[in-house]
Amino acid sequence: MKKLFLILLLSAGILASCSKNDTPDPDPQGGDIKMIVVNEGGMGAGFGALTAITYDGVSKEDVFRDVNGRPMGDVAQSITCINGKYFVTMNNSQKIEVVEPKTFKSLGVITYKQAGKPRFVAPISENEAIVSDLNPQLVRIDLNTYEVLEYIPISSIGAGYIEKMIRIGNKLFCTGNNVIVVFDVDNVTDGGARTIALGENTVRTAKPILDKNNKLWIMTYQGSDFSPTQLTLHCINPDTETVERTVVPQAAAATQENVGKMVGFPGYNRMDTDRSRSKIYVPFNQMVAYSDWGGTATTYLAIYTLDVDKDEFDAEPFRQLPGLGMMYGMGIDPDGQSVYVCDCLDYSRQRGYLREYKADGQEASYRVGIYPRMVYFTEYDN
Amino acid sequence: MVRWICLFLASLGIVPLCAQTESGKLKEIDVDSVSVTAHRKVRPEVSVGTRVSEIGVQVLQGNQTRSLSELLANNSMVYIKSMGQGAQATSSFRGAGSSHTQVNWNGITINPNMSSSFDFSQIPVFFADNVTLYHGNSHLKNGTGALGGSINIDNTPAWDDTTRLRAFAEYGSYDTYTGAASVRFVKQRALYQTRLYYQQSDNDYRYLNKVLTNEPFYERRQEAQYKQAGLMQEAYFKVGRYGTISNNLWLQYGNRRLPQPIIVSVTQHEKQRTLGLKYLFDYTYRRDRHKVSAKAAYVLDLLDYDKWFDSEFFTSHDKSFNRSQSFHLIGDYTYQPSARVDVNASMKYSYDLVDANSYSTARVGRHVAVLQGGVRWKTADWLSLSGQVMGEMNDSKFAPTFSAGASARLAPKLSAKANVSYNYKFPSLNDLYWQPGGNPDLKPEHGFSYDVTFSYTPRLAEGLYLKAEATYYLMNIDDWIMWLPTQSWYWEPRNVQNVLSHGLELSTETTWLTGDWSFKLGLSYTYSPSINRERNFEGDNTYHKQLPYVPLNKANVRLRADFRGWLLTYQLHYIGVRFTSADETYSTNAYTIHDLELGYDIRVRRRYKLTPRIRIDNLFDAYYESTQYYPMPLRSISGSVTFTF
Repeated sequence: MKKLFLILLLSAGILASCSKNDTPDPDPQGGDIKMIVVNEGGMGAGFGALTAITYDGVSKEDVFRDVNGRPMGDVAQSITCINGKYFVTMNNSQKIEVVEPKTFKSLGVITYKQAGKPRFVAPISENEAIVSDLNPQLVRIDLNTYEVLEYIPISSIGAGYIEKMIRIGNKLFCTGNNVIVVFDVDNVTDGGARTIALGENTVRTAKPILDKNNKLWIMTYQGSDFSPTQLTLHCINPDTETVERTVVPQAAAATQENVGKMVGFPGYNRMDTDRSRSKIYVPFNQMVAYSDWGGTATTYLAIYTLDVDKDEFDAEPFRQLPGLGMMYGMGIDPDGQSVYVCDCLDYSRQRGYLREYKADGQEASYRVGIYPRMVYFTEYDN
Repeated sequence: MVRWICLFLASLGIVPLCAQTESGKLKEIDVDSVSVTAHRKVRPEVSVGTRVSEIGVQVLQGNQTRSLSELLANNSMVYIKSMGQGAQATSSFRGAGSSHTQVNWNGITINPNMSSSFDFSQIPVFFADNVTLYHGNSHLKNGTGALGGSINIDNTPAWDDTTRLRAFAEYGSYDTYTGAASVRFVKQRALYQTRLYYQQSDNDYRYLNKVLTNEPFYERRQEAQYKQAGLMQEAYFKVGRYGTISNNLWLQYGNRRLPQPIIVSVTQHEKQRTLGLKYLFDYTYRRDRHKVSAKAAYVLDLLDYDKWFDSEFFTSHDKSFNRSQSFHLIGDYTYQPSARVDVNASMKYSYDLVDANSYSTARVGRHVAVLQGGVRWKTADWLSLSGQVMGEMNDSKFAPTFSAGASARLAPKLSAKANVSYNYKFPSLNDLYWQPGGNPDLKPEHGFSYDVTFSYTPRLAEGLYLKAEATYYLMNIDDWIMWLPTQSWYWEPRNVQNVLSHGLELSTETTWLTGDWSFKLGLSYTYSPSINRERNFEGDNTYHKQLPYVPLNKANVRLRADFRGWLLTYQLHYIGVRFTSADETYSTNAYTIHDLELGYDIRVRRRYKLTPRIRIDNLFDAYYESTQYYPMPLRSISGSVTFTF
């Protein structure tokens, strides 16, 4: 009997009540970081992550967790560099992580006390920034104390909720439903909003681009966001707050004679520019083959470019993206040479890849986190 | 009309058995006393190769204040993925998914027909007389869908039990109150039993949050409070010499908040109210070599969901309401043409009907008809064989399946059994009709399963007994359904994965009786590799990786000692690492939890028994998560008194 108890006690000791803690990786660095990929991670699972990719191609898949010994949070949305710090919005965690560049140490956390879904951050002064939200509100935060200062209702503007924002001079331009909402940075209030009518809904996943001429480019769609029938690029003068011109890419009919041409538009599209800000890069559907048998077209995603001084996209694609399923984020490297696309594979909660499509036709892949959605180049740090 | 209502209530024992006289007055019917003659017992209709585990009466009684999720987590080989006490708890049986465990109540499938995944947190153990686990998919009579296994909850009339009243009250940590009572009324040919159960808890345990911010901080669990109430009414009648009628009515009410993961700053609230009604009528006729039974059942599930936010600006509530109904008719016949052969045939018809806001049409129905036949043949004293075939017509889709098993006594104390079977699971109604995404073209998940079990039951010494079982199983589940995004960016279910699940199930139960002492030591261990066995595309990193939330290792230890009315129980539960992502990138930690319980039976005038008990769960105050970022209660203490008459 004593033996039996001894065995039990021993086994209980071996299996002592405990929970193993993850130990932080003390040295996450390995060369200068070229870009950071924001990985959503899937709702409710806490896989939100930052992947740091160095110039020599080394990928640190979940660098925040490695450094800080805890998960970054749930559903990472965006990264914005303000005053030399990264502000990473965590949509479902309802918080913003403040992260030190290069080391990826957490400097602080801005947690919401009221409901919100933080999406993107734009500075409005040295000390404050505005955070957009999936709900009809904006949130003003303190960049130094890491606190929420104010929840600003925007329902009365009639723009729905706001996603992407860009500060130009002393104005903040925000993408609303079918308008651009403009605030003076010292008066981001419900009553301080002006609107620029676009006539179509904005593509909320496409970031606003300020070109070399200091003009703002916004993408809108017809049809549905996930399956648009037409896209339009609006060129806006930030000073006059008017649409100066529009560029309407023309999709060819999916017929045999149009093989090689642009024939349609992907859903939830993206756009980007390079360091020169003289071109806008947009993915379209290019037909690469056509079968008379049943009249079916085979299409690939391809990046087309628009010279900001012209009114038409280049007829030939800048880069083809063969073999890519569904794009979940796109970025152009500052040199305007490589196209980077976030590939979530089959969306089965496994780590995805950042695919690089190089100028010489070569491809490179970097393993990143789960559901990569945004690529950020550290050259744009400020 | 009054007569019909009266008869229905009478049949449940809610009012005394009554009849309407010509004058409209009610009078009691005298039930003739008829002696029941002994007849040959019809053997259980189990495939002889199937591993069957029964949770013992002592264990059931020891867990009567708890839910089935806690019972199974601590006393079975099923892995329960829980979001906390009172919160959603789903199962993984033999490495399969949560929708692959079939749950039957007195022979009626009670899996929700919308999602198929059963929430074990809403079933009080107090309402179960027997809980039996059928490992694997070989026992076809448990129905389709039991790819991992099935859990059968049964109520049985104990005609000889003299207990009339059993009641208990328990108070535990975090303001958890539980109370229940069971009243039995037995006449010569009728047995009525009423059970009531109530539990509520603030469930606001304190823990250290190490994941939301840089500085770990203590907080209390938010949005985890719950209430549960249940009523079960049973009425059993002996009809003639050979027949019995069973009536079971079960009402179960739940009102709970849905807790958030601790990686979230909690500013939203979700409340779920559920009402379940189950009614079963069963007529069984046993005579000599024949057993015939007919069942009719109705199952209703109502779910009322409400979500709201802490906000000055958006104060609207996000609400939904779903109603799900199932109607069942079952006919079953077993015949023993000889002492060595049983032949069985059954047919089932069920109709599922769902009214849900989120379906493509306001009302969705599904007809299911099943024909099953089986035979058991004891070919020799040491060898039995069995075979079952079944065909299911699920709306317009037909699926045939089979099972074959053998059981052999290899030595006086050593036996072996083996089984091969093919089974399938049709998509849930959510898979078919949810909008957007519902996919009517889904195929059933299906696969072969093989297992072999060895049992060794020696008497080791005077008063020392051992029962040991070891099983190896292997099964494929093909066309596993997963929800993935489409090119149009809404999520839809698709037949994606082919899964291989195989593993070991080991269990021992040692009983030692010496003097006034009685010891029982139960050990169980499961090893459950369950992997995606095919690469779906180039670079698929889920290939040959363990499925999320299927632990490779699970172990339970239970030691019970009895001495002159004293009772001491010690339990240890170990759950190994569970991967939380499909490519094994992320995982949640293994944990070991120890529980202790002490009780004493106080006899008062022989007829009355008072049993005070004190229980300490999570004795060493370990922080652990069954579902990642959903902390489970730390050390908690509860005291209860059970009164039995």
